[in-house]
Amino acid sequence: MRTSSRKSLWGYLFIAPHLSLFLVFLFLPVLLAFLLAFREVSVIRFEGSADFFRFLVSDYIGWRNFSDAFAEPVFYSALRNTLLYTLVMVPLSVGLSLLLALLIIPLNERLQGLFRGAYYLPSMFSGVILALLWRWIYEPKNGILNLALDALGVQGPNWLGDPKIALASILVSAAVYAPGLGVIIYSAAISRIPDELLEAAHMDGASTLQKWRSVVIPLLKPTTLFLVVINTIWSFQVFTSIYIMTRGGPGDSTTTLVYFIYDLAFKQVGRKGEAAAVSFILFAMVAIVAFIQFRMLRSEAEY
Amino acid sequence: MERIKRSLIVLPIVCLGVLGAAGCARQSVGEQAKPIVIQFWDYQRGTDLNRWEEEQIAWFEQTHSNVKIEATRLAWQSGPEKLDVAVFSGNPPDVAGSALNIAYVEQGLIEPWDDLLSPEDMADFYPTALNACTWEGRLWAIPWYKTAYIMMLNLDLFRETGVEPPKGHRWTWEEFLEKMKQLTVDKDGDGMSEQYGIGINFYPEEFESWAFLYNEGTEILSPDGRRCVFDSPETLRGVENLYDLVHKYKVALSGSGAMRQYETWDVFTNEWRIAATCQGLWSVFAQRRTNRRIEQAAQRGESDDAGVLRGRIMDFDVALFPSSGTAEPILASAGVGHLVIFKQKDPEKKKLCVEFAKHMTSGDSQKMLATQSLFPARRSAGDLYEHDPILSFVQPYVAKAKVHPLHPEWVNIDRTLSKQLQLAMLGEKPIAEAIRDGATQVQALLDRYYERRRERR
Amino acid sequence: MVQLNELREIGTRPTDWAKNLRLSAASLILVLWALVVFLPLAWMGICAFTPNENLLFTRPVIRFEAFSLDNLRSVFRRSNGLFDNWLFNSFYIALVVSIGSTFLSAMAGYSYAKMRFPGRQVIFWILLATLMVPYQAIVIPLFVVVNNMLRLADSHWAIILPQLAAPAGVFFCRQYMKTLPSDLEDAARIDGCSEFGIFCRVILPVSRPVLAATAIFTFLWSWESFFWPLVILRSEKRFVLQVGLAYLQDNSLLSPGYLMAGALAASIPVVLFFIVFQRQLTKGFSFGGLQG
Repeated sequence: MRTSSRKSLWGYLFIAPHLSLFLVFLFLPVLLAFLLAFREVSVIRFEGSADFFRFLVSDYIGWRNFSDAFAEPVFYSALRNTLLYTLVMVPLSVGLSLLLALLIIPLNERLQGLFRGAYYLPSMFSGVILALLWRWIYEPKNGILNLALDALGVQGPNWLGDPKIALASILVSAAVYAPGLGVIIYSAAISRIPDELLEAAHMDGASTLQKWRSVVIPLLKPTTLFLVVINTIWSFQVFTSIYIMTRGGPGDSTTTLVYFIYDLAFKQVGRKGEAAAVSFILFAMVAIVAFIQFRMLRSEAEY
Repeated sequence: MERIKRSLIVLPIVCLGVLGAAGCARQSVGEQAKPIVIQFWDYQRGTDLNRWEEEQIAWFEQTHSNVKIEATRLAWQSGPEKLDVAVFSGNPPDVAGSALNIAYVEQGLIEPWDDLLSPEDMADFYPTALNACTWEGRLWAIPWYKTAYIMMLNLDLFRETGVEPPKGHRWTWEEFLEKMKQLTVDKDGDGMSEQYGIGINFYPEEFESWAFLYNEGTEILSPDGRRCVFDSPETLRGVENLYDLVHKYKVALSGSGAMRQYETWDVFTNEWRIAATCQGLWSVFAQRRTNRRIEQAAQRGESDDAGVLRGRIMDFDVALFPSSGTAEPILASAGVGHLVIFKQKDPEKKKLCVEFAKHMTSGDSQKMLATQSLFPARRSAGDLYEHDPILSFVQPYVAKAKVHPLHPEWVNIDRTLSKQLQLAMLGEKPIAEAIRDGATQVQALLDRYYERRRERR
Repeated sequence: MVQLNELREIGTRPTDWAKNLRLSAASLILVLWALVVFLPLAWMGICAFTPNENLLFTRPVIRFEAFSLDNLRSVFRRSNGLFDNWLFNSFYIALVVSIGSTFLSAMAGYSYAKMRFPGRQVIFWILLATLMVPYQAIVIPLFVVVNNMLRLADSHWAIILPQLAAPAGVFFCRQYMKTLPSDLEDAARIDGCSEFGIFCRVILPVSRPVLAATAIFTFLWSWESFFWPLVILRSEKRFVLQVGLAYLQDNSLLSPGYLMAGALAASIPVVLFFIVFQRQLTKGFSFGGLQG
């Protein structure tokens, strides 16, 4: 008994430094934001504890921010765009990283490292910089993409200004860098596949493709699921590229949920409560999806 | 080992202690210090004006004992968000430039100016400037400068095509159309003109082409801001005129309506494919700079590729928008530069803020506007450009330039109307329907806004 | 590491031409993709060194003779000589956050992974959950906390402390440490080592990969953070690099050269870090805990 409570004490001590910072600088703001979602937006005055209690008690409007958000047509465009983006990006990113990781296998150690590094390095650049770069590349007149197409005699479209292709353009610019992390994780996972299994497959005379399909890919399921979860969470929260490249436009063809939240909070008047509400709707969606995927991951872990 | 264990326990306590001490220290320092600190936030205003501001701040601190002004520069892209976060977390600055936001007014965060200006002062401002800072009958900011959109003409192209620029910078719609037709040249007769008269753009936050509508008599909102009056015969006529330019007479760039401001500017200044364009007055100075740069490059002997790639020096002029009949032509303005004072608790500090704001927007400051191709908001500043060969006639028109309505829902109104206008211009929707839809949607926006405001109060 | 290529006997049998073909096809795809990934960055480099006006023409004029440092000089000039301040600020903040976060994450991660205490799962899940709340929703409340409650506005602590609170590092460390066999600590415990001693002498040395990865990631993440520093800093000389560069972004459509030069300058640490720490990074990901 004594040892277990002593152990508990140590447990708390070890998490204390990080947890105390977390509580003050992350948990508390999230809590305040959550409270905001149920209140009429007003200035958060905090010159004393009286202000805080007033904030808690007054201005309460129940679920109205949520119902307002659901009544807003742009919300559904944002939802649609975000889901579309996620449904394309996740398989693309994970699939590409798997393909590249598999293709790297037969190369020697140095080349492997070189390619892995080459794919990973650009994704380490900040999202802002990559978005600025691609916005410049997509320029309809001076951008290198349309200039190259022009040299081939093809009229390049207005990549970011045409509502039909704007979202796809942004997706492509992100998809170029998304596989980077996946390649490294997959490579590492592949390297942990026990020799015996591969030997066995080889003995049976399996061709490369068969080997991949029946042995390697199933063994990578946990990794795959992990990458799917991470990419899903990231895709749901795509913002920076939209902000830099199209500002949600033209119209709302590239408005995603987080951009919608930003718009409500900073561009619209008096709708910060709605922004907080949508944030929590988004949070709930992502949490549910991640939870489902985690459960699947847990059950797949035994092999 | 034991020491390490002890320090592990002590560490978080020390952290919190340091935080608390830091907090207390700041507080106590604040109480002991005497000077009144004014937080002044302003956007980037260009090198010369920035420097002038800093000089004025220094002067103000010297001439007023016990006053310190902390200046923060805002970037145009991210500044509004930074300001918003500060305001809504209860930490607004004291004086801020171009910061008027009805959201702040509605929250009671801004000092009204009605009682702070003497009648002579009020009379010194151009009425349009005051209107642009007025909401529901009260003045919420002190005007500083005005800008406007104008028509830029490529005189070289006019000359080459043998067309006379408008006399006295003015033309009626018929004269304008006639010249546009002459300026549209299809050299090889393939149906695609190499040279067009003009390019039109409609996009949220881009108001270059709105003056065409204003000159026909378009109004967007009723004076009390509650009704959308965009759907009117005047608007219909205005949009039809523009539509005809593109589709009937084909004197405007195809794709006009879906273009952006920077595209029409690029086609005008780099490609020389249009003879006229609607741009802000800044374009006059930009073109002058371009001309100078090309000239210097030529002087330095950078000759190969010169004529084709480096651009041509453009002989240009400006013109007013075409007026309907004998009416005075109207210019459009994107807004009025101004200074806002956030609500002050200390009357002493408020007086200083007011004095500072007044100083920054009168007298010399008005003269400094010329360095930024801006126009004064005060009559007493006179004509800053009277010796400018191109702009000497423009001042009175800029003074009367029509500013878009100041309204909390303006961002959405702009988006809605711009979108409908684009659809109409591209021919994807009948014009009357687009205008009607736009007006209906805007009215719905307005209704919802006032409904929620009523509920909140 | 398994050498799968050992299982192939390349070039020794008649059917190997098919293998060679597939090998070259595979290499082709790899190289092509590498090009797709790198060309935009190369373009960024070219634009950074091409005089800005050359880029504004209808066909940008790219000539190697015309390469110059003008754009970078402009960037320095426009920053009123504060560019190196900004660089230094970004650097030391990222360093502090990186080191501090690694240490905090290691401790907390170890605890969540190995120690038992009531509420362990719940607390950990709360940590994870906050990863899913978009920062736009948190900005104003965080400002209230930092400024109104703690009075830390316009200081570097206001940036460092919230960044130290981030739970991502804790997550990674915990996942990794879960895979460490308990025998290690049990043995040390039997030898009479204190808990902290176990942590320092047994766990940390074995966790080098994840510690390195955490340190590097946290550094880069702190380096590129923009919105929060923008909001919380007022004095120009305290700016971090990303915020300073934002001022040069105004009217960016007219100055792609300056923009690219600034972007390049801001990315150099990224590249340097990568070159120096490449091995640690890839090793940091090669642990089973991440997959399950």
